[in-house]
Amino acid sequence: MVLRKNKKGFVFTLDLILGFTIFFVALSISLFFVARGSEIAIGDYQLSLVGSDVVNLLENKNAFDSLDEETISNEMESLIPTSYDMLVRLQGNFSQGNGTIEIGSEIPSKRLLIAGQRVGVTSNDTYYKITYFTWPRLQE
Amino acid sequence: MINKKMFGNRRGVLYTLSLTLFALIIIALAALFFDSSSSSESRLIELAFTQKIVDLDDSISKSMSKIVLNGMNMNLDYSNSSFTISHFDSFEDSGLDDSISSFVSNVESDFRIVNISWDDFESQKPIVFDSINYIVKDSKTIEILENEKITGYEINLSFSSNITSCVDSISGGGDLSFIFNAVSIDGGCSFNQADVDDIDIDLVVGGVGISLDIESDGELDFSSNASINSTIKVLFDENDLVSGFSAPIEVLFLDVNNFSKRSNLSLVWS
Repeated sequence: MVLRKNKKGFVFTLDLILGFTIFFVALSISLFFVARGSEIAIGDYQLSLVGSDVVNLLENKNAFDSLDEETISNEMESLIPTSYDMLVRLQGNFSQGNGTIEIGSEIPSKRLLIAGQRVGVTSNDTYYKITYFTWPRLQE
Repeated sequence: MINKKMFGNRRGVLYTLSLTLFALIIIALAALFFDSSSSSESRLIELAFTQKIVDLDDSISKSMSKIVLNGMNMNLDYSNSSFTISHFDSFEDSGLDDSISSFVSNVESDFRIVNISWDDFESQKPIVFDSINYIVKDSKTIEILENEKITGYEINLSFSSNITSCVDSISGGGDLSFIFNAVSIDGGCSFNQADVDDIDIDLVVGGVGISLDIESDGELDFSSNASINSTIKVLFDENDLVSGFSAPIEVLFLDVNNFSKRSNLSLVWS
């Protein structure tokens, strides 16, 4: 009688362990899916638009004509929305910075960022390629 | 005893079933969430790709326009009943073709999906406005091709040397309106006439010849060997659907995923 009761307890414990295991596996899979689903939102496209708009405005202001880091940086600071951060990289056959100028903040290592590319010419027809990176600024 | 055992078993089965169902519901919801996020991701990739093409197309148009307008010393303006093209000094700089060629090779080497074809622009330099072709044949000659839409011209010329001769031959009986004004440091030459059929004007400025010839069908030939600031306003019947200036420079985007976009260059200026 005692042995039978012990056996019943053993089976009950095994069933419990199996049940919890299945449940937590299911929960873990669900959490993984939910977390993966939350990673990318359609609103992130806004990042790309912000970057494109800022570079477009800089071009319209002829800020790249001088290929001067400080001039571009000053113009850029006044255009970037407070909740975003940006890096603009100019590459071409020009002497400044040996053909590569980078303006803006350092690219964060573990953040979503959106990149885009444009081309342009200065007032004396010097070609440059622009690569811009935009990411949300950390709120302090 | 047997009934009690059976009841206990049933309860156990019920517990297991409900637990399994609960787990399945959670997984199904998570799968739905995942599916929705996957389609969001696809849309985001599509939008980002579109944005990339729009960015490139827009920046190529702007850059080419800058090179063309600088190289042809040109300003553009238009309304719904006229367009105006102004040149300063010469009609075309000698380095224009080299600047375009260098830009095209840089863009094509940086972006493999872009192909720019400008053969039709290289030989002559047509600027097209609402099917009216304004052609800069070389640094000294402008031609506007015949077009039934043209209703008149307003031409202003300014020279740094003196106008020493101004000979005109203007015949009436046509449909064109014509206003002409040439100024120099000393002396000028003006005409203002409606219902014109044919116009020939020959000027001598600083010892060199300038000729203007307008036909009844709207065709214009203008050549100048002198340094000149010119403004040519072409009048046409009021049209609210004018599309702006373009040049026969074709920009083709051809992506590996069978995406393609072909467009003629719209001249953008600020």
